[in-house]
Amino acid sequence: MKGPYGYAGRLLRVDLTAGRVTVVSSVPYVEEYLGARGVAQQLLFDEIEPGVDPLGDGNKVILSAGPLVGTILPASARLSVDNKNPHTGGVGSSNAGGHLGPELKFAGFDAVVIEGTSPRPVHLYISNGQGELRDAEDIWGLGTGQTEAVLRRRLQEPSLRIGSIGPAGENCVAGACLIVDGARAAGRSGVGAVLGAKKFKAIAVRGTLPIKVFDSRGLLAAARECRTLLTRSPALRRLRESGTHGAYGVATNAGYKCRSVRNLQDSYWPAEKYSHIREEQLRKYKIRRLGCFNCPIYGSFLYHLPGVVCGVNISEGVPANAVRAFGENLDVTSPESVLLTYALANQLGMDCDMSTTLIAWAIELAENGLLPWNEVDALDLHWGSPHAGLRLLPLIAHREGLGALFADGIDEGISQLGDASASHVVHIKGASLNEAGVRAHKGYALGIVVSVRGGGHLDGAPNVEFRGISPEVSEAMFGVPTGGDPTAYEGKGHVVFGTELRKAVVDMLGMCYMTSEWLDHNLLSPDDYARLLYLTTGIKKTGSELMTLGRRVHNIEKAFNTLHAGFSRRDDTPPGRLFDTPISEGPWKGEALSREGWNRMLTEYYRVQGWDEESGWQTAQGLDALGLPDVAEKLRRYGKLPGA
Amino acid sequence: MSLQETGAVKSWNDPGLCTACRACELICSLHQTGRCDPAAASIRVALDRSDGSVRISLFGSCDLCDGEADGPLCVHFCTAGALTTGHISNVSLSGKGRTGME
Repeated sequence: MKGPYGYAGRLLRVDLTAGRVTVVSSVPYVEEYLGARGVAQQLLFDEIEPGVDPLGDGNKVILSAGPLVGTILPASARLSVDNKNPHTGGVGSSNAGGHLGPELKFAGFDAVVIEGTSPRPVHLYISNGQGELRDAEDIWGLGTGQTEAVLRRRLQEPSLRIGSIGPAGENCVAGACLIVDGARAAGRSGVGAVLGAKKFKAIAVRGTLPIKVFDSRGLLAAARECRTLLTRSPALRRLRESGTHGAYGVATNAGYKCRSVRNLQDSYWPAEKYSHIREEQLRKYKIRRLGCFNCPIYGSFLYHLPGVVCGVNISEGVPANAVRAFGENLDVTSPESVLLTYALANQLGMDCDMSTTLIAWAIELAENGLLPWNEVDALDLHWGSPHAGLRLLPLIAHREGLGALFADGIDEGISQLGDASASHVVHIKGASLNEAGVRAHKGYALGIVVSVRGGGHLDGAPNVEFRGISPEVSEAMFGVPTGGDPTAYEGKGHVVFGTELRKAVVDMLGMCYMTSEWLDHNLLSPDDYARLLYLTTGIKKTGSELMTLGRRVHNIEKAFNTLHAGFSRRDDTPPGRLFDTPISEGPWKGEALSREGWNRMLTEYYRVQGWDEESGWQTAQGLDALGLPDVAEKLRRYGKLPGA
Repeated sequence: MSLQETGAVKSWNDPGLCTACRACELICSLHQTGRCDPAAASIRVALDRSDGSVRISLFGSCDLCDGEADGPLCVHFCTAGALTTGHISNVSLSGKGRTGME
């Protein structure tokens, strides 16, 4: 089957109920929204009706790689993972690096759609243009690292690229994710539990087909320019030197950013405490640097672990997210604990964010006398304990002991633990909230809270607030001068809107977010991505047209949330402690969100989006103007269209 | 393409700075075939996840980028500095450290 330029040309439909895989052309799917997240979210919107149980037969998981993935363009290796989200009941969309996305393209596929439920554990093996469901009984129960080792050995294929779930996913537990290449989590979306409910253990891919591009010479020249741009960026140099762990440490110690401390009770953590878990403290465990496929930034490392975790003693890591999750958010100053807890989460197949949300909830409950004392002592559920996470996470993953109370997530946990527990869990729409910069940095907080995925800073949260960009640069990027002024509420609706569009562009094409203006406004703009898209595929779009496409994808996701989860304005509200508990010390001492400021900022955001300011819902007029009458019609049919 | 079929294979273990990103495979395939096709490259990078070691193999099909303006493209595209022209010509180990952070 001859594919178009950039694209592999095939989509694989996997019907687990029937045990059947079907290869179809991907061309009709990619026509409108180009690839990856755009294609996947449109498909989920069209094919899943409201009322479908996220852990039931009717949910689907889509693994997809955009048209730029696997080409000579640097850092073009992203895999999009999309599904209905069991944490929120709405949109699930996540993204993983490593090498699985490119391998899928080299195996001849742009996307894999997994649907139905298998009667017994299976894994999917994909090789050049074909897919095959195979038995997974003997790997069911294994950690993700062990799963990868067994599959590579069995197939005598050391280059096999794998995404797998661990025991957490198999047991359909909150926070369960898909782990790619042993450590890269497609997280936040509960996809591990969705796959576990489907009895789907792993996807293993080996591909040796070529990807053709539209203008080979032009793309090679552009790739060289991109590599130069990326390697000369000061922001990315820090990543290359010491990963996001090091870069985050520098930014917070210098006062640009804040931290997420003790279940977000505070956004300040003393530098003396952080000094124990800063990047240098983990150097003695490092084996080598690691990079995603064809990435000149490679902000990751391979570590010897100071212990064995689920049968492995080596792990890739350690991202800033994990340091935040297992360091300051638990008040932990042991670097070994941070490294081991992170490795354990990966082996169990749980994402860092929900892991820390649940552990910190348990500790705060314990500190307030709301858990049995014998359990508290056995698990050492105290702030600063290096053991708490290591002991509690396996119990959650296996639904054992105290872990069983947290295994079904926040709503179910509150009903098990009692109403008094509700004020001690920090979440957005049922999803985890483990973020820095949510009290002092107003736009960052807005972008996190309104994210269609339920929290997360890799959607609309503007990194420019940490960099102090000038009013002129802010005006050029977002149409308002306040992007670089963290504590201003004015204009932030525009800044978040502009950030969301830029992220959607990157997510449709498959390049890494680090190549974009997010970390460094001198990096790739939507116009740059449009040029790369043309050189790769021959598709002509301007940067503005790409952002409009991104806006449409985002509105499809927003509509999915309205239909499936009924989120409205009141759900776009941060937890009370972000208003009521100001930052205790440091350069941002005294900062908190103000309710009046938040409401003004949120109203501005809805206005910029063209959504109803009172409900936060989309309008018929707004959707028609965007060219989404079908979306409007579906909302109208379900009574979710204001004024219709 | 198996190792045996390509004739002479030279390989070296643990080139200290390699990140296993495989940019070298990709750019080599572009030179060899005009397409993005790492499987067709004359160079292969293998990361052993059991101990973190890396092995780079060079196949007999390597032509030192004959016809390209700036010599072996894999050397230029390796941002990590794990490859040198000396490596590609003579396949000799360097004495570089592992992370460059010592």
